[in-house]
Amino acid sequence: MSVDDRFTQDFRDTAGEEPLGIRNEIITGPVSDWATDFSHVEPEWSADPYPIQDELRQRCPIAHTERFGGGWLPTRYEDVAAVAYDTEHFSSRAIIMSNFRPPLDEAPVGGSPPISSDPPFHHDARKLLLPAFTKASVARQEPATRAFCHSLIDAFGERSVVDAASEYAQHIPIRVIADMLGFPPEDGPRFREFVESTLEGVNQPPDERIERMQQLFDYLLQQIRDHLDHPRDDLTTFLINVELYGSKLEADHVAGTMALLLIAGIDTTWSAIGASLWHLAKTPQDLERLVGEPALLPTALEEFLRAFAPVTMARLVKEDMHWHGVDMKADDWILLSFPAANRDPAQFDRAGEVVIDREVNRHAAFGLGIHRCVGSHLARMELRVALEVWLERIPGFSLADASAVTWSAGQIRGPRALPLRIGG
Amino acid sequence: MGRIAGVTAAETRERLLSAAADIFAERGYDGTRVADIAAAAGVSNGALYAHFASKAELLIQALRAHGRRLLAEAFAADPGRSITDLLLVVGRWLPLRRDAREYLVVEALVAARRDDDVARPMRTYIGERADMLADLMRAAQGAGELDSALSPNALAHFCLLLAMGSSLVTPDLHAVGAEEWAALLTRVVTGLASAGPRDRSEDVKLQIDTGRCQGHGRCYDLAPALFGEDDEGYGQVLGDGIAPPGKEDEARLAAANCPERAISVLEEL
Repeated sequence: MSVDDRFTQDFRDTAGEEPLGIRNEIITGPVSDWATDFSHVEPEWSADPYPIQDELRQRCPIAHTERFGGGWLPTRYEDVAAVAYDTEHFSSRAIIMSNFRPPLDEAPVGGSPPISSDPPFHHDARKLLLPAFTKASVARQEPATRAFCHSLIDAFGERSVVDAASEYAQHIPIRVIADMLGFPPEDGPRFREFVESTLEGVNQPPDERIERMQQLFDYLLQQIRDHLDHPRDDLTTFLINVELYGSKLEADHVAGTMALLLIAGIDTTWSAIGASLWHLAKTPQDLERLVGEPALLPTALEEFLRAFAPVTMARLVKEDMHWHGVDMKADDWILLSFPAANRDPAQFDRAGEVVIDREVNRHAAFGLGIHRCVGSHLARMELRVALEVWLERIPGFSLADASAVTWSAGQIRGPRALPLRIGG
Repeated sequence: MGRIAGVTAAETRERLLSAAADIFAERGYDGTRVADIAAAAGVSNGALYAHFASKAELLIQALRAHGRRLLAEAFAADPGRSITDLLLVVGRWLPLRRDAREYLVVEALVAARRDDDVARPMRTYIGERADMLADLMRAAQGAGELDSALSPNALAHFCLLLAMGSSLVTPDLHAVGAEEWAALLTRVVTGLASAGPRDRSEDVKLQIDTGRCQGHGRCYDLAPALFGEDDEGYGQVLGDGIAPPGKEDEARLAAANCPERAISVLEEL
C-alpha cells in the first residue's frame, strides 16, 4: 500500500493555521424594509421571494442590508450579469453569504475550487473537471438514473399521498453524485446533513458552523483514504491523481473540490426537480399538455429552470468603489440572484408567468460567465429523466395540501416538503 | 477494272468503307457480296482483302467510319455548347427520317444476332460508343451540368437505347409530334441536370465567439445538426459553418438561446 502523505494529517489538525477572516454580528428577525435590510434566510423570502424581488427591481434595483456584515442585492438582469462578468471587482473566494468572510489572501484558490476561485487559477482548476461533466460524459449516467427513478416510484407502493421532495427529488442527485464520487450510496442521509449545514445554517454561530464543516471534511478525508487504499474509476480517484502545474493537487484542493461536487450537486437539482413537480401539481393545464406532448419537455424544463432557478450565488467586493449608482465597500457581499435576473421584465416577456413552450429563453439559472455551473449538463439530464419517469408513471397528480409545502432557506431554494396526491 | 491511278492506300480504304456503308445499309449483311463492294469502290477483290480480312470486319469498320453518332458529332461541331443543350438538339433529331446510311447499324445488329463473326466485333463497337458517351456524361457532370449523383454509364446506356431505338422505330412505323417530343425531352433533360450552383442568398453563416462561450450547451441541445460540443463541453460549429437549407431557423433559435450571446448568425455572406 502506497502512502500519500498529503492525506496523513487530519484537516482538523491544520485548521488552526488558517488565517483568520472577518466575523460579524449575526442579525436575524423580521425584515423591516427589503431595500435597506434584506435577508435571504428569513421565512418570508424562502416562502416566496419573487414579489419581493419584483418590488425591489422597481423601487431599488440594488438593495442593501447591514446584515451579514453588509451586502448588496441587484435584482435587474443587467446588473446581475455585470457582476457575474466582472471578476476584476468581485471575488468568488466566498460564495455563501454568511457572517464570516474568508481573508483576501484565500483568493484566487478559495476553499472549494473552482467555484471559490478567481482568475487566473480558476480557469486551470475548472479545466480539470470539465471533461467529466460534458453532455456526452454525463449521458453515461442516464440509464442508471432512469432505473433509480423508477425504483423510487416503485417504493411509493399503493399510497395515494407521497412527498415528492423527500421521497423522490432528493434521492436522485444524491445517488448520481455518490456514484460519480464513488461514495457508498447508503451514506445519502449524511450528505443531506452536510448540505443543510453548509447552505442553510448560515446564521448559526460561527463555531457551530465550523464544527459542522469539519464533520464534512472528516467524512471526505475518510473517503479519500479509502480511495487511496482502493483506487477505482471515479471522480475521487481522479482528483487524488490528477496533476495541475506538474504536481498533484494539494490536499485542501482535493477535498475542497469534492465538497463542492457533493454539496453543489445535490440540493440544486433536488430543488429544480421539486419546483418543477410543484408547478405541475398546481397547474393542471401544463401537466395535461406535457403528458400529452412529451416532446415539449426539454423546452418546458428550461422554463422551469428560468422561473424557479434554484441557485443564488454570492461575491465579495474587492475594494471600495462606486458601482452602478451605489457606494460599495471592500468585503461587502453581493447576493447574486440568478432567480431575480430570470424574472426581469426587461429581459423576458411575461417574466412573471410560467410559459412552458417559451422558445427563446436566455435564462441565467446556471450562472453567466466563467463560473457557469460545471454540472449543468448533469443537472439537465437528471431533471429531464426525473420528470420523464414521473410523468410516465404518474401522469395525474395534484398538491395534497398546499399549506404543507415548505421551501429551503438560503441561497438554494426548492421544496423540502411537497406532499402530492396521486391520481385525478 | 484496273487500279485507279493516283489514289493512296488510305484513299482506297476510304472508298471501300464508303461503298460498304451504302451497300450493307441497302441490302443487309446477308444480301451483300464482298465482290459488289469491291466493284462499287472500283478496286479488285484482292485489293479489298489487302485492307479487310473479312466481310464482318468490313461491316464493323464501315460502321465505325460512317455510322451516325449524332451526339459525338454535334459535340465535336460545337464543343462549347452545354451537354444539356446538345441532348435536347440531338434528341429532337431522333424521330426524323434519316438517310439510308443510317440503317447501317440496324443491319449490323440484325447480322450480329445471326452471325458470331459479326457479334464479337459488334459487341466491341457498341462498347466503344457507350464508353465515349459515358466520357461525355462525365465531362458534363464535371462542369456541373448533369447531376453527378447519376451513373455516367447508366446515362450513356440511356442515350444509346434512344439512338438505337430511333433507328428501329422509324417515322413510317410510328410518328410523334415534334412539339410534344421536344417538351418531353426538355422535362427529361431538366430532370437529369444538376441543381446547379445553389442559391446562397438565403444561407446563414454561424460563428461562436470562443471568448464568450462558457459551455452551457444550449446550441448543441437545440441545433445538434449545426453545433457540437468539444471535449470540455464548449460549443463548436460543425462543418463549414453554413446552415444547410431549412436549418436557418434552428440556427437562429440556438443563437437566441445562448445565455452568453456567443453565437452570431451572419445573414449575408
